[in-house]
Amino acid sequence: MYAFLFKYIIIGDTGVGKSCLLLQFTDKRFQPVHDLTIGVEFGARMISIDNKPIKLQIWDTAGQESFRSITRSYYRGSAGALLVYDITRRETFNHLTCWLSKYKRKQNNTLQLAPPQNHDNCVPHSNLHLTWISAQCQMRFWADDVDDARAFANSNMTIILIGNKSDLEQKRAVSYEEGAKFAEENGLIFLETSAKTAANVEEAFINTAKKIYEKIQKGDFDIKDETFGIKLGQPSNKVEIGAAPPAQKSGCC
Amino acid sequence: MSQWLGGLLNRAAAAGGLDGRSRQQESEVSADTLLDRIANDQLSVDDKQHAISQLTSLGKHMYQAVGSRIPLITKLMQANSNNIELLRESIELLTSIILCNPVNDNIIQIHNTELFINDKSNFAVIFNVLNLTSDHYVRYSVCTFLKTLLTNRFESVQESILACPMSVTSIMGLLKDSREVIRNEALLVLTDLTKSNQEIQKIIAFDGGFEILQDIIRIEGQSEGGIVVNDCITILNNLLKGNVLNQNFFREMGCIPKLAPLLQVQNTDMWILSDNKFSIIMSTLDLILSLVERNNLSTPANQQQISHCSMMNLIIRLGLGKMSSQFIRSKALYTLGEIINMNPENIAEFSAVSIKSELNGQSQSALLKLTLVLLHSKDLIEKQSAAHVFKCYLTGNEEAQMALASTITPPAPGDDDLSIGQHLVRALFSWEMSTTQSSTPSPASPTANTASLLANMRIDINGFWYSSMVIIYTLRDSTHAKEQMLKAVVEIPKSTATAGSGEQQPLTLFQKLMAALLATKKQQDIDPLIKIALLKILSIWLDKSPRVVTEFFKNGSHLSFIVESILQPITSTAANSLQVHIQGLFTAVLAQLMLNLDENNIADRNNLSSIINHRIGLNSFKEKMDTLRKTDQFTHAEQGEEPFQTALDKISIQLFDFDYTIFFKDICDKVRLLGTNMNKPRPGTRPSSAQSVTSPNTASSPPSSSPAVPHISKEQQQHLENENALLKKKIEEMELQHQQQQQQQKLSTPGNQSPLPPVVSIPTPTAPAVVAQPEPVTVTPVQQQQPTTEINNQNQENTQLINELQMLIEEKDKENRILSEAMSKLEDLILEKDDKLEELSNQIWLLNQQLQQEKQQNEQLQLAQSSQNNNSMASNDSNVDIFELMRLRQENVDYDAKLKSFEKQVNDQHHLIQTLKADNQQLILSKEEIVKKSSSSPPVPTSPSNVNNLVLAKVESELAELKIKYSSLQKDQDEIMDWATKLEVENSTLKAQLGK
Repeated sequence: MYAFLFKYIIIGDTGVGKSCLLLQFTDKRFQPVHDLTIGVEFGARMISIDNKPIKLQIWDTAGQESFRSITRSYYRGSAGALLVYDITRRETFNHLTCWLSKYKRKQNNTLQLAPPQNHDNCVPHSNLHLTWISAQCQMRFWADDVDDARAFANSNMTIILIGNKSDLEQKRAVSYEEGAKFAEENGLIFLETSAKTAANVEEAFINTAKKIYEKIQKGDFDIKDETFGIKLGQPSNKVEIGAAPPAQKSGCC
Repeated sequence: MSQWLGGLLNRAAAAGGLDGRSRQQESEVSADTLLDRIANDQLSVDDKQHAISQLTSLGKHMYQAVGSRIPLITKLMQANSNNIELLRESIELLTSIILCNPVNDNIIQIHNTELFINDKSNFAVIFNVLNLTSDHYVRYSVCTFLKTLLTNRFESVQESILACPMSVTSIMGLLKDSREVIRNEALLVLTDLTKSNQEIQKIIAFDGGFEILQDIIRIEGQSEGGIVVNDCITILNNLLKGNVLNQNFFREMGCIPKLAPLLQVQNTDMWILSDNKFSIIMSTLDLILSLVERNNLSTPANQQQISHCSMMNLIIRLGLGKMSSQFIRSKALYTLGEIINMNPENIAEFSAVSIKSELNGQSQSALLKLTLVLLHSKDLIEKQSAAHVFKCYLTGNEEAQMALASTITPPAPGDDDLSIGQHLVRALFSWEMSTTQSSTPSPASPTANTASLLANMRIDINGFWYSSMVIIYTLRDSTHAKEQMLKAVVEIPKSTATAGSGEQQPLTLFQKLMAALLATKKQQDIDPLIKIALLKILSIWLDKSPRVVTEFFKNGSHLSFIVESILQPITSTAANSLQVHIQGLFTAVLAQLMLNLDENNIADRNNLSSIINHRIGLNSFKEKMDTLRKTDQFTHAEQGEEPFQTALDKISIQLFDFDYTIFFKDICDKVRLLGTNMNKPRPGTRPSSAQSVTSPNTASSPPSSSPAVPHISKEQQQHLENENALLKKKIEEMELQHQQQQQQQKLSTPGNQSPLPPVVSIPTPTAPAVVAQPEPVTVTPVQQQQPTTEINNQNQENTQLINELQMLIEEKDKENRILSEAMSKLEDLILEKDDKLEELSNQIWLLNQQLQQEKQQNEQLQLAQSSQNNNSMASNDSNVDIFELMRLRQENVDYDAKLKSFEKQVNDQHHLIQTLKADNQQLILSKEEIVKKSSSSPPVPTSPSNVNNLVLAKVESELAELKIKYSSLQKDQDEIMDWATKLEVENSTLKAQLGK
């Protein structure tokens, strides 16, 4: 079985290639035309870090506005998040500020990244949290979500920023440097990937897992608390339950 | 709304009397004052808490007042979330105002529920309370409150909970509560919450729902556990049913193998099973059925895991083992079918399983055991489930079909260990044995034991029916299996019994089946199901299998039996209520014969088509199939596959299953197409283009087209004649042109006849001309010589000529098509005439009978009384008849006239064709000449003229065909004339008789 199980979520605007990233990682294939994700989709894969088998349980959320209220139920129980934008569509990069909001931004009051002033007092005192608002709907969502915002994501969530569609270099609208800068400012891991050519896709998932693993080694998590999205592998005796065949293939009666 | 409700309430109270009204008002006042006290910020928490308990004590009188101010209560809870007592009393108060009374209409309670749900912040408070406190009572009452909310309005509650992000996590927290009471209450909340809302189901899965539930199942002792385990299985089923994501998740997280212990039974359980264990096994089977649902993307992977963790073996054990409950056996069998359905690996594994019998220690294959259950179980559900396993095992699995077919062999004498096929065949003909045995030794006293015999048969009929179903599954959609079954021998004649009777062939299954079917004719009281089953087998067997059709025609009596059965009038007695079905199936068999006949078998094809057209009539043929399609049994089966049913009263033998309805409808569709081609002579010999032109006309309105025919043909005639004249002109022109060309050529280049001129031309001056020429000419532009321009011109003209010729040929083609169309219409007319003649002859026959009767009467009368009066009376009677006869004769004359006119038309057409043909031949000749000339003079256009020759040959052959058809038509016409003369002769003899 596995030594650890990490829960991931994939978030980002609609059409940035979230489902394609998942499919490339779990099935190693690319599907150019993908149905719109409804609510959430699920995928799983085993990886190995430090010679330990680790199971990744990945929840791919819908980017569409109308599913936000549903998808935010998945934030808290996750250990890792892949925040995805499309390097060929500037607006998906601009929306990152809405997906990701940091408390310290409020204090620094950086022009680009600060939430609107009139909502500042509502931003909860969490080291790092996610909100699920896009620029257009900011007002409504801020007003709705303030009360329970603190519960949305755990403070130790590891987030990787992913600039997807790196194979479309000729259509690039967001430079690598911009992405890297944004990641650095927000304390995120950063990679540019291509779900089509599979470039950096493995790395995106595995680097995140490495980071989480490091945090575990450092003792940042209470492993028993499942709200962190991390689970210890089952002891071997429990695993046996179904494995022992109760009847032989022949002569089962 | 609340005001209106208040009014309603007041009115209701007023009806109760003045006393009730005053009390009501009093309590309303006090409820409001109590609520005001809660709203008052000046008062202490203790006072507010007191107000709440006072409110609770008011009972139903405060429901409406509190309901209108729910936020007041929730805000109080929010502000005092550490005051356990207050929280508990507040939640209890809220519960009481929404708790429905099963007797009353509960308008207020439902309204209060809606009021609570509509304000999202209310939910936030409740879940906040859950997260903050671990107090036993508070958590318990929150559970009760949520349960009540869900009972009242589960869909809106589900939506509100979805909108409240952490709510599901909070509820999962309740499930993890170490106190069993709270955990069990939470299970009940989840049972409602997980119903039908996929998003909630997914979030619960995300929050580890599967693991928590399976842990509870494990802690409670798996299949030994009680109602709690059953609740968990129900929730698991809710979470998984139809939810592909959750099924993937369930499988990926290795949850499927953990279900296995729930299906484990001890040896003692075989005999007697506790109610809890019974329902746990049943709901686990339900859960597995959800995992292997049809048309679900995750089903194949789930099936694989189920068999890999040897859960399939557990289920086989439940289904074919010694479990005393037939419900569990049946459901396990049904589940087994779904587990192997469309899954080659699981099918292979299942067919390899063998079961050890504890009686004699011998092991038999699971399939054989399944056959025995199918044939000998007393329980119809169990038989049906066993048949379902066979269906899943055989459908789309040719290997299995062939394997089963190969087990049909003649049983060795004295050997009791029959193979699967032998068992099935024995059951298939069991009814026949019982009837023949009784009828052959004592044909004199058949009535004595028919009652007991019938009873015997009725007991056997289920086994017979399901064995026929398995035979159908074995045959369906597999040509190889059909042919393999054709070779299957079921009986080898005993050499001792038939000593000296010469070489007797072994009896094949097909022969036996046909013989059995023929034998049903003689048995009036036979169960209609037997006929239906045998006909279903036959119709499936014949499908897409010309060899089976050939086998069918080997015995001449087969076809006549089928036709007779179709023509048999349907009697409306209750015993024959299935007559419609039987005739529909007979018709389907006939249709299958027609549809699947070997293409080269023209004799049988003509025979069949004349039977369908003349003896049965195409319309009545289609009608019989349509009537079957309209029966209740058929329309019911059409709806789709039936889910597994345990209710005994609903179980009965279904005449048709979903697959058969599709099969049958397919035949109907083909017959409909067949009908459009059937009226035309010798389909297939005519070019397909002509068919496509003629078919819509003949199909749409054969009767109405008859009067229009003369018009059309006249028009056509004129049209054709005109065209012919034009053609002639053109040919003449062409000839002229050609002659001119030749002259020119002779003048200019006497030596260019050699096929390969020595000098290769320079391409530049010829280039424009080459472009203008059609393709075949451009291939050989090399042979240009001095003086090139003239030759070029000639060539051009030549090609133009050829083009024109081609066009002419095309026109001819069109004409031919029109002619053939007209012919098919004429044929329709002849068919109609045929029918009318038949009618006439029927009438004459009737008249004849009447006449004979009259004669007898007359004789009697003459014998009884010899007086003149009576004689005149009799003559009066006969006078009437003479009038009738006269009328008939007149009619006959009319018909005759019509016939003659038709004949004339036909002759006209014939003439037309002949003249056209002559013209055509002339044309062809002239064309050939031209071609010869052109090919002899310049070698250039040889290839196009070849093409033309081919086309011409085609046209000629078509014309020849048309002529043949025409002569056959004339023959038919002659026959009709013969008929008519015969009729006249008969008529005259009748008249003579009457005159006498």
